[in-house]
Formats: sequence, C-alpha cells, structure tokens
Amino acid sequence: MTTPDAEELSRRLLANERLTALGLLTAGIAHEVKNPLHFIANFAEISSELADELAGALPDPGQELTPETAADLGDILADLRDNLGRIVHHSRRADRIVHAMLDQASGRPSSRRPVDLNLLAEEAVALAYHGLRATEPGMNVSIDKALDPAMGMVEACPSDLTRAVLNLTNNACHATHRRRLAEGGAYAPRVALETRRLPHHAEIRLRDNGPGIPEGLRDSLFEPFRTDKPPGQGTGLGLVIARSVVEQLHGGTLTLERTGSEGTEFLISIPLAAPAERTGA
Amino acid sequence: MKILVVDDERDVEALFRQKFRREIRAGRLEFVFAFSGEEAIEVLGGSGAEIVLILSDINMPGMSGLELLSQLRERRLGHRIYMVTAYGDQSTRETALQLGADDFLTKPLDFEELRGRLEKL
Repeated sequence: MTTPDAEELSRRLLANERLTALGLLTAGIAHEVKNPLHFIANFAEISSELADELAGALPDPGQELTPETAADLGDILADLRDNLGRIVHHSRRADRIVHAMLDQASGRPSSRRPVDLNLLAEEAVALAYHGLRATEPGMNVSIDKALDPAMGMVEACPSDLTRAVLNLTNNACHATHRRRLAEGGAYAPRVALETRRLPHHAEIRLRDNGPGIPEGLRDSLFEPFRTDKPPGQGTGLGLVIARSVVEQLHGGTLTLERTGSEGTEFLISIPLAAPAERTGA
Repeated sequence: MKILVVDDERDVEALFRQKFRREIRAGRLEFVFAFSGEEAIEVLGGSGAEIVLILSDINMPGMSGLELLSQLRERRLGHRIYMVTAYGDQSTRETALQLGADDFLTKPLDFEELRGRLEKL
C-alpha cells in the first residue's frame, strides 16, 4: 500500500471534518425539528377535536340557528383557522431546518445570494448548540442574542457562512463547558451572539465567558490541527475552515477580538458589496 | 388554580388554552404566560401571590429556565416549580432538582398526564 501524499491526506482530513460536523448537525437538527413537529401534531389533534365539536354544535335540519349557537360556531371556526395557520408555520419552519442540513451535507459551496443574516446567524448558533447538547447532555449554556433589527438581507453563501458561525459557536460552547466542569458552582456558562449592520459591513460577533484561549495557542489559532480539545472531540480545523469561508468566499475577515480570563470574542466582518462591485471592475 | 407557564415558543399559549379549554371555562384552571425568564419575574412581581404553580422550559434564550429557577429560590418565593425540557438527561434532571425544582417534566408534554397531576394538587 502506498503512503498517501500530503494532498490526499489533506482531502481526507477535510472530509473527516465534514463528517464530524455533519454528525453534530444531524443531532442538532433532530432536536430542532422535534419542536415544530410537536406543534404540528398537537394543533392537528386539537383541530380534529374542534371539528367534532363543530359537528356537534350544528343545529339539526329544520332547527333554528340561535345567536348563541352562531357565536359558538364562530369561536370554533376561528380556532380552527388559527390552528391551521400555526400548522403551516411550523411545517415551513421544519422544512427550513431540514434544508439547512441538506445544504451542509451536500458539501457543495452554496451560491452567493441575499440572505437574512440575522436568521442565518441565529439558526447556525441553534444548530451548533443543540448538536452539542445531543452529544454531550451535561452541557447547559445560556445563549444570548442581540440582533440588529436593521440588518436585513446581506449577500452571502448561506451554507458556508452557516458552517463558519457553527464552528465558532461549537468552540464557544466547548470553552464554557470546560470551565463549568473545572469550576462548577456559581459559574453560569454564557455565549452571546451579536449582529450589527454598519455602512459598509455586516458584523457577526460571538462571545463566550469561558476561560479564554491559552497564551500558547493564541498565535497559531488559525493553523490547522491546533486544538486543545481531547481526541475525538474536534478536528482542529474549525477555525481554519471558518476563516477560509469568511475570507475567500466573502472577502471578509474573521478575527480574534479579545481573549482572557473573562472569556473570548470572535468577529466576522463581511463587506456588504461584492468584491467586484467594490473595485468597480 | 392559577398557573404560570414560561416558554419562549409563543404557540405554547394557544396550545395550553385549547388543551385545557374545559377547565379554563369552568374556572378550575387559569393560565398566565411569560415568554422569557425576565418576563416571568415581572409577572410574579405583579400577580405573584395568586400563582400556585410555575411550569418552565429550561432551554430559553437569555435567562435560561435553570437561572430563573435559582433566582426564584433565592427570593424564597415558595411557588411549586416544575421544569420542562426536551432533554430528559440525568445530569439536567439532577441540576434542576438540586437548584430546587419540585419536579421535572419532559417534552413533548403529555397533557393527559399533566391534567392528572394538576387535579391532584
């Protein structure tokens, strides 16, 4: 058997990273999808009971429809209508979640298009968190969100950017979880997502109140395979891939804003105009 | 009996109101809803005395259900508190009970079972 060359190794490792990420995603999606599915089942069941009530409340042929009965029927119909609306809403939600998973699973770079950046960031964080929770049940992190209401649509490659935010969230949750295992007691793990729309950039910040990145790792943070996670828990490629997605696919920057005993903050900054537009080419 | 339900999903309100329609109409149960830990604390400050039971989701953005639980226990408000969560793992259960929860329910809520419990209170 010949030894695989560096390029082949690199390909295999990236494929492995994708599979690891996919495993986490699947668990996360399973959890996320359960919520809307429960609502769909519950509201469908209630609506079925309401339909029975409706049938029961209808006056017999020949009998008069009293104002009371009319009011009752009106109430039941209103609830039925609302429930059906909720069922549609939660079905669409479940569909989006599964779509996000298929996008990530396909591994194909997603095409650049306008995306609701707040929604993307929120969903990426949720996917990461629930995926981790499903594989590490003791993990209990509070997720704070401060999303800029003026963010609107931003040109981005959705599944790739989701991947980047997901990787950052992964790291943030692991950091706080590690601190909790070490300190216990009153320490409350917190991860914060913040988005901001600036005149020429869209920002996504991810903060955690973990123990900070050890001095020794800070310089080589964005190098492949630098990880302080135990074997099997991380591939050491999360930040590398995130930075590559942000820089190469979006012409943006991914920077470590600060890190210390109070926690860590990463910043993704994406230009609002496509590179070609900006240079006027 | 007045019950406070805390969950970030707004449709939980429609769900409870419809599932407990009969009891609500008969005046046996009354539900109040808060969509965050912070809101729950406000509500308890207002009509707090009348509320007999709190049902709270654990996984909420912002103040988590467990944080809400600690805060309520710190203030010695004495309400009966049941934590509700999709994650029925041992560690979460223990943490909740340690922090002072009276019981721990898993999602999806079995409304028939809940109805039974409420009747016994």
